[in-house]
Order: sequence, then C-alpha cells, then structure tokens
Amino acid sequence: MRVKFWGTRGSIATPGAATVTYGGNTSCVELRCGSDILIFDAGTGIRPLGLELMAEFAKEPVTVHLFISHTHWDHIQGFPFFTPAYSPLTTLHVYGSAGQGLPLEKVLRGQMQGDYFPVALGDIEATLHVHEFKGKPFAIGDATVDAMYLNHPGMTLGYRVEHGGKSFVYATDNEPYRHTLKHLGHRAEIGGNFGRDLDREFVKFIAGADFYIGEAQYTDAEYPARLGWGHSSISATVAVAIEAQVGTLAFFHHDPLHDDKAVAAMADTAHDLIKARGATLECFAAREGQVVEL
Amino acid sequence: MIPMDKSLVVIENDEALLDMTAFYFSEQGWEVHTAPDGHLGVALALEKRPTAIICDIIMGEMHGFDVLRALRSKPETKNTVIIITSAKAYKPDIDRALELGATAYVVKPFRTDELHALIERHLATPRELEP
Repeated sequence: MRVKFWGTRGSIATPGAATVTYGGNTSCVELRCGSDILIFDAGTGIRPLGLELMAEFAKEPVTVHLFISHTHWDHIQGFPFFTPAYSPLTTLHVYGSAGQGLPLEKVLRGQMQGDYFPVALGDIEATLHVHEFKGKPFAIGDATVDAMYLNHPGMTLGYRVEHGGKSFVYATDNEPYRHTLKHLGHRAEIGGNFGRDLDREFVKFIAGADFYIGEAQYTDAEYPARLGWGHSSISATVAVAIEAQVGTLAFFHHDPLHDDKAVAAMADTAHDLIKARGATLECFAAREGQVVEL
Repeated sequence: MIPMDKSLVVIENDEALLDMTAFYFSEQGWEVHTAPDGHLGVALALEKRPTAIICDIIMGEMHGFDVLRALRSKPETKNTVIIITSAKAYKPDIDRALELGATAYVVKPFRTDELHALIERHLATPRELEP
C-alpha cells in the first residue's frame, strides 16, 4: 500500500503562507493497492491528483475508485475539477452513503447543476458507476473494503481497507458519541455507558490497523466550545488510536484557523499524550504531498 | 386475552434495544413486529400497516432517512406516526428527519415509557392529511 495526502484541510480550502507546510487543500487521500487506485474524498486536493493521473496514464484507460465519506462541501468540492472524469478512457466508481432524502448520485449531480457549475454530471465523459454502501464489505481487486457510519451531521462513512496483509483506515469527520450524549445517558434504561459503548464500536472498526487517518480538528482547549459540531479533539483521537492499538495515526482535517505553527503544536500535544500513556503509537500531523509506504 | 388494537413496527439494528423496545410495548398491550434493517422494515410496515413505527437511522443495509422517504411515499404509511430514534444528536439531522416527514425525533438513549407517552400523544392528535 502507498498513501499520498493531496488535501489535509477541513471545512474550507486555506491557501497562503501560513499553511504551506501542512497544506491548504481540503480532504483527499490517494491509496494505491497494487495497481488499484483508491481515492478517499474529493475535496480540493483531488484537482492536482487528477492532473497527476492524467500525466501517468496519458492515453491509456484507467479505473479509479473514489470513496466519499460524506457530501459536505469540503469533501466533494474538487470533484468537478477532477480531470480524469472528463476522459472517455476513465472508468470512475464512486462509493458513499445515500444522502438524507436523496440518492448519492443526485447529491453529486446537485453540485454540478447549472447555477453552480457549467458542466453537468451527465456530461462528463468517463464511464461513471455510483455505488451506495449496503452494509457489507466488498472487494476491489485484491483489496477488501468495509465501511462504518460515523458520528457527524449527515450520513458519514469511515472506510477500512485490507490489502497484502496491511490495513488502512480513513475515518474523518467523527465526534465521540460519549461527548454528545453525556447529558442523556444517566436517565435511560440502557444506561450511562450508552455513548461509550457506541464509541467502542468505532474502536473495533479501526482495531489493529497499520495506518489510521483520523481527524483532530480541534485542540483540547477549543473543543468544549465546539461540542456537537461533529469533530474530535486531538486527545480524543489519540486516545482512540491507542485503545485500538493501531500502528500509526496520521491526524488531519486541520482546522482552517490553524496555521502551521498551531498544527505542529497539536502534534507535540499528541506526542506528549502518547508518552504519558506509555504507548507505542506512531503519530504525525498529515502534510499535503506527503507519501507513506506501508 | 387482551385485544390488541394498536400495532407497532420497530426497525432497529441493535438487537438488545430492539428486544427491549418490543418487550416494553408488548407489555403495554401493543402488537409488536420487529425488523433488524431498513429493507425488511419497509416491507414489514407496508404489510402490517401498523399504528406507529419506530425507526433507527444508522443501519447498514438501508439508513433511516431512506426508510422514512420510502414510507412517506406510500399511501399505506403516508400518515402513520413514525418516530425516528438515533444516537445522532445533531440539529441538522433532526431538522432533516422532520422535513422528510418524521412525526418526531428522539435522541438515544431514551426512556421507553417516555417514548410510549410521546407516541400516545401523537396518536391522540393525528397528522393532518396532506392535500
């Protein structure tokens, strides 16, 4: 497996001198499993990835598997600028959850309506297949892909890929249930541990992964004011990664208010937490353009 | 034998919660039918035409919003009391469920007696028929 980060920012693209180290493009990660090309999210980072794929495959046919975590803007806004979608030599499989009231294809079609963009989804020249998640793992070449719904407004999926004895998880835009449900748990028959039990399901989903791309949009100091926004603090994400015994945590979906110095400070916080717990977790703040071989 | 004049379909993929909800409403004299996923739930609701439906959101096979959309598009369940229950406590989700025709949205974990009271209240004040 080879992982490349093309977009690491959350919420909105944040270009400029203050973000040159960790990057300003929104969520997009490329995963190569042998010859299979998997892409996670179509934030603005998918535009340069598309250009590189066009250069790599030139006039050859190419099949791309694009996994959408959810259809908030920062995860789909680059899609209309993904050049391979305009090539008749491209076969494009898009995976995700049905939206809230609309099928996934209609949601994608919606952002390319004439009021928003000059080219309609139906006019792209790639052969397009849209697949909605049906609750069961499925195969892409030699890889197996599973998905799990996360705790975020809207229908949001995290993905786990197994290939060649390695495991990779992409799970962004996720908030611990125990935080959002804390005030409710004590007064129900199923008890105060309800949120914690749901969070355990997520720990099981990522358990033992060699590489976990998780989100840590907020510092611990920022999180209380953003409780219920559907994102995690750095200490929550590090704690989950330690509990799940993952090999490496790459945290991303960096907040647009965080400059490079702030993101680096969050990495320091993460390392302090890991050291204090006596854990062996490897952890870094994902940088745009960074490549990791598993 | 107590005559059962109220029936309930519970669509929920958490087996323990499904059993607990079914047990409580059965004890209260309801005829209860259960489905562990959305597809089965829609089929069951259309077949049984229950007095009320309780439906989860996060289910792998077919999520709760799709269930809601399917049920509200059918004359059999267009005006049935449908309570959406979910551990998702975000306002956009709650607003969207109500827009799609949910009678009410209850955040998990809930007290079953309060859920029952809520359903009874909605049955006492039926939805207005849409034109």
